[in-house]
Amino acid sequence: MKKIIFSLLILIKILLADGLINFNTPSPPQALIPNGIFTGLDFQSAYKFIKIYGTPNTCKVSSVKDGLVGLKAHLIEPYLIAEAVKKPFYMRMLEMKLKNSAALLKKQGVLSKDGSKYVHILKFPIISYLLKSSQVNTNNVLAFAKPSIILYYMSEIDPSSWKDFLKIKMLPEIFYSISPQGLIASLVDCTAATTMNFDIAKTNKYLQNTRDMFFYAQGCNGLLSIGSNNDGQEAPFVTAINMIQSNIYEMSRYGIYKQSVESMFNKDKKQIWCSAEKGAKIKYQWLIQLARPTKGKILQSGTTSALFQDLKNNASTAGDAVFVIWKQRDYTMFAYQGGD
Amino acid sequence: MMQKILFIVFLFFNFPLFAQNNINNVIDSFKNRYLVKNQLNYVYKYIPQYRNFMEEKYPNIFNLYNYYSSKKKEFPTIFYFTSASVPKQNFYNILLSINKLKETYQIQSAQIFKDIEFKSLSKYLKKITKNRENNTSLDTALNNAMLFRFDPKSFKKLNITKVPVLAFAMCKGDAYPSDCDIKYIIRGDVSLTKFFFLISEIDNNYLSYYQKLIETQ
Repeated sequence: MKKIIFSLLILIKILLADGLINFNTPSPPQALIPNGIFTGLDFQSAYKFIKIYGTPNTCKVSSVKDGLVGLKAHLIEPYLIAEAVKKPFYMRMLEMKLKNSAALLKKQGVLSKDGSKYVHILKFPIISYLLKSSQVNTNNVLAFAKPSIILYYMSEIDPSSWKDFLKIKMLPEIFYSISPQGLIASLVDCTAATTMNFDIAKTNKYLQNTRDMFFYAQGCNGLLSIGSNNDGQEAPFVTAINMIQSNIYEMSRYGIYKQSVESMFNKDKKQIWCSAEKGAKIKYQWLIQLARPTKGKILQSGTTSALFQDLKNNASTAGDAVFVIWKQRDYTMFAYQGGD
Repeated sequence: MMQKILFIVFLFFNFPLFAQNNINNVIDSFKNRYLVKNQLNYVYKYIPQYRNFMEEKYPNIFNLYNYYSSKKKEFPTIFYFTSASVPKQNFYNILLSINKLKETYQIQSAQIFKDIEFKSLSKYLKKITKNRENNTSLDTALNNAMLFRFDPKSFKKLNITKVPVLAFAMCKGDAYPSDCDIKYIIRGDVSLTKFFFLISEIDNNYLSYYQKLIETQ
């Protein structure tokens, strides 16, 4: 019986990962718009990222049409909403509880112990919903992601979130992060991230490359293995961010989160400007911002003030936190054909 | 035979080669929940050795943060506050003169819009970039000097109600007006030569910019 349930859980996880269980919606349902997310977004620093250069770029697809020659541009948008909650199966961003399947799982001994955080990740490209309502076709001018809501990850039904033995089977690269060179990598990664936070919108290739190269290091959070849930009681938000990072890493390995920023990993740069590409985890591409209970700034991953002590006095969300993960994009204006 | 091949393929996809040797040795330690703490002790043993190695190879690696911040210079920047209603010839003239300055001086430049209005912006961009292949000097100017950015905060701060407006600033980082301290600002449609002529009357250091702009070659 245990085996059957276990295999079912894994099947559900795979289905979730592939995005098969999703609900694509043509217009925004009012009930599903996360409460307080719009006010929690840091739009002021998001403005800095929008750049339109004068350099032209051509995208050849199948036939030469009008509008395939465009300008190079850079963009940012809120792409994922990730949350760290105390109660299992409680969606803080939607303020709703899923059906009580926790009891069933508890019988099987799958649910983790008290004190640890549960992480949910939801794809919610808010900007595309906003623009859809005003009936503006922006696919060519500003290439935001297409409107679709998908629940990508729930750590309650992911056994590898609390069993490192399973995690190591999925991600053998964990060896990097706990080795002596991992310590030095995290030191270098931390310094690179903090210097990049100074002018967050400025592109510095040397710093970007160091961040991308040490993709397994967790920045200033210290020596943590990717996706480990070990420090559950001590610094739960650090673990939450660590698990979010591991999810981004896994999903980009499967090709679900796509690479949209030019980096040292992709050799053919022209593809990035014309369409999104399946590839490695680009750390520089993803930026993290704390949205609830307090509004934070857009920062490089691994430099957010993720300590539980910082938020302890704020009881509005009962110790839970919601993070918004921003996605950067290099594209050719008037010719970009990615959409995701 | 088939089973063996499948087994080998299965192994190959499951474990990358670099990890395979280490798995058996370390797998017991992964059963422990407090994995990181145990591993830290292991790491501390090796620190001095690795630290010496790293310091020899990269002397600034532990000092990168200070090194980067001390190296920062203030860059002279020219901001051109515009909108989609400004005629394209005025925009071209500014770009051409900025490009001329960039040949000799290290200068940043950006064209600032108040907000993103998709329809007007796309029309304006198409209008600007039309027939650019015929004019080579304009083409290089667009490549080097054009950078559209959006900053509603600075429009409020500088009380800009009508465009175009030219501004001169010193920026430590990126060319973004709300992060820089703006020194001079002239409202109305002014050419860059006139702009630097007026500034050089106040500060003599900017006379060289003016002289560069009125050169024939």
